[in-house]
Amino acid sequence: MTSILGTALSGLAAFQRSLDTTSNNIANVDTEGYNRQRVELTSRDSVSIGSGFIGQGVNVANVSRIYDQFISGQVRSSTTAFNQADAYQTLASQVDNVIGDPTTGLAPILTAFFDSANKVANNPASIPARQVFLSNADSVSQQFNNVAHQFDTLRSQTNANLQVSVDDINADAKAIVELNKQIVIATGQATGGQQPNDLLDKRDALLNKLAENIDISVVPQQNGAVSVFVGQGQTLVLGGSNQASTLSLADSSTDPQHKEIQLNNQTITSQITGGKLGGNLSFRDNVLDPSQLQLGVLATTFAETVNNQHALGYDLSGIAGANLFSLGSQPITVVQNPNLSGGGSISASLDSTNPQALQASDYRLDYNGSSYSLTRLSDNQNIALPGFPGASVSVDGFVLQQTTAPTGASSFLIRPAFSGAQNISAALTDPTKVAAAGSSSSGPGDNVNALSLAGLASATVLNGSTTFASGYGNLASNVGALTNAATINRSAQNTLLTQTQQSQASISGVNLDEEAANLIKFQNAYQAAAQAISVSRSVFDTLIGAFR
Amino acid sequence: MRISTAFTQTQSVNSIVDQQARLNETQLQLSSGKQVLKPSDNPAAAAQIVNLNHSIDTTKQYQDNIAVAQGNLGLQATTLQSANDAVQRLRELATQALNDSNNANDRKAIANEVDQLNSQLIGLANTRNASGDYLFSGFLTSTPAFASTGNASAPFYSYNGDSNQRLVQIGESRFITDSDPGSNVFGPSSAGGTDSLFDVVKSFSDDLKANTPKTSILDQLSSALDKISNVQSSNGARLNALDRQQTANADYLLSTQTVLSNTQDLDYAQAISKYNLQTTTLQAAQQAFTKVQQLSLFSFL
Repeated sequence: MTSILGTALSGLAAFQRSLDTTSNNIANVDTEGYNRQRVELTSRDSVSIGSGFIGQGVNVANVSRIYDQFISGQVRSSTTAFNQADAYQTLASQVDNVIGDPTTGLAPILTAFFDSANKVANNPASIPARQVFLSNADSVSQQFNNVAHQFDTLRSQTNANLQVSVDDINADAKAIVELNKQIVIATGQATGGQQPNDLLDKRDALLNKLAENIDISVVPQQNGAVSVFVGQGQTLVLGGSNQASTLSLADSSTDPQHKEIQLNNQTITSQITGGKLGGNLSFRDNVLDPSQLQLGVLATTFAETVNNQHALGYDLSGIAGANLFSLGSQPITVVQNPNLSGGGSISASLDSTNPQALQASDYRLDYNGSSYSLTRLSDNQNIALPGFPGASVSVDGFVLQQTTAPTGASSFLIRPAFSGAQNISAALTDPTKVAAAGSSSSGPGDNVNALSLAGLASATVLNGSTTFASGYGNLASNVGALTNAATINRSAQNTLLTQTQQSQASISGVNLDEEAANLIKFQNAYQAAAQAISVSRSVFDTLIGAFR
Repeated sequence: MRISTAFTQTQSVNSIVDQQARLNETQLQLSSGKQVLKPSDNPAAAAQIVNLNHSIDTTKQYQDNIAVAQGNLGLQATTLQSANDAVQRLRELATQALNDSNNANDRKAIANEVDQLNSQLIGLANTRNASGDYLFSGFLTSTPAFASTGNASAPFYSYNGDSNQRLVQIGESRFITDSDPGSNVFGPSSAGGTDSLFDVVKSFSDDLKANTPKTSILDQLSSALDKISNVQSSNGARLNALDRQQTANADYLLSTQTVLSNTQDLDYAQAISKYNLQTTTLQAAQQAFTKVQQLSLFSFL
């Protein structure tokens, strides 16, 4: 008799929990990182009544979350891969836009410059034609400056992105340490291996957020905490520790615009992959820097080649042509690595006799205490330095000279082409100074040098095989190809991410129809259990009535 | 497979957004008329477009150069024709003056016309083009080609230009001279020489005024005429060459523009049908979304 009441009450309690959980599922249908929960019911142990065993009702064994650890890991790695591809593609497509639609980029301005040299050739005495030529020279240099400026803006943006990612990672790592603590305590309190579902959901969501920024590996600990590693196994969060490691951004020793990633003050830039951090770094190293160098080579070679040709001619007063373009007072930056104590100093200048040899690369000059070695950083090629440091040496279109000998190990970063597009400016303003004539003694109708200047348009002056216009075309096509590949990769990663998210959602996501059905089911069961209580009362009443 | 309500909804919205992005891309292509909007749309074509545009612009500049050369050579042609006419007339006058039936007065009258013709010839030799440059001065375009020396004896006129000829680029590797130095047309045969056309005519006039015309004048005028005619025929040949190069350039422009158009321009028929298809797909996705969203068991509770 008491058994029917107890059994019915256990049912009421169980279905109450089930209804609670169902409504919790419904409430969290849109919560990010939420895994649906289910009440696990077990029957109570039956008791022997001599003629058999009779059931004693139901127990709530656990409220478990429906969760697949393997798929969660997949979602995390897809998230990392997608965010890397996404960050890379977003930035690359900005360079794509800067280099631009083929008709509005630098190419038409270069063509217009050479066309105006032709107009001077047609009418060498005409001051207006010379004026147009000079203003086109100005447009060319301004367009170079403009593109270089946009590259600079992209560099600042990349640096800002890196800072945001680093800050996010640090904040998330701290939050994970906190959650680790709470989870360890909660897990310790549970007697039957039950888990603090919502804390776990929160931590999984944070791990996912972390994975958006950087590739991580997650190692669960026995006590419920997780350890998180980045790069090649560097610890970000250690399961038992109360503190997370700190990522930070530091200036490179030779270029403050070039940021390095540090973990507890140790540089780990080269080991970082994945996520927004990886995407931004790989954009900087594979798209931005090479494009800026290529543009710099174009600007520098253009300025030097035109200047050389201009110097062969004579202006209206019979004076040899002055420089048409200037590359600034210090076209090549040489930065000494401050971490080495050897001192010394090196100067580098453009070799104007050999502008075609310029390469789209930076160089590192190392002194080991007894000899120098020069490395071209684009292909890590070692470059011979015949006669150096005793005499100056010309390599790859620039001249190296030792001004002070170092006393010990020393290293210099040399950037011949990096700032070319930024530094180029038109140097002539007086139209009579345009050196159109081929001889100092001929008259104003001499157009020999103007013709030669115009002829540079179709001369193969870049790497000995490319015209200026197609040099720019190649730059556009390189960036286009990189961006195109990035776009395809991004969309592939997006598909992968969506697929894994879908698998995860199909296991752990809330389906409202299912919950509606459960609601009906549990409501019916609850009503039935309540009915059993009412039956137990009428049975009791019947029994009492028998004694009246 | 189980369906997660929230995820399915997000996916549906994402696919609608994707459709919109694709539609937007097509719309941009339609409004610009180009299928390559940025280098990444077609990296290979992007480089080609830069090169094709460069070729087209350069060839257009060659056409402009040809127009300038045509102007100069055309002006030179008419000037030379006038000079030719004047020398012909001088020859007629010389033949007439040599006739013994003329007395001193007759010859003075002829000398007057000869002087007129000589100053006309000097005017022609100092012709300027539209930009004010002297046609026959070589590179010294701001200096009149011929001027009176003021001397009492020959040479009475000096050539003050130089012997340079200006080149104009009219094709990828084709140059043409658009002027001739005055010394080639009118003499003298050597610098400071006395055999320029103007000196010859001046001496002839002086002889007439002295009533002692020499028969050698006929040969001298003939050889002057030959010189002018030679330049005239070379001038004509260059004008013909310009015409041919102009046609060749125009053909090249047309074919290059066709290639450029094939490379970068949009196939409108294809783009419009794509646009229509994408619009339909977007509408279908939107309608399906609203329909599916209405399906819920909760509506029946």
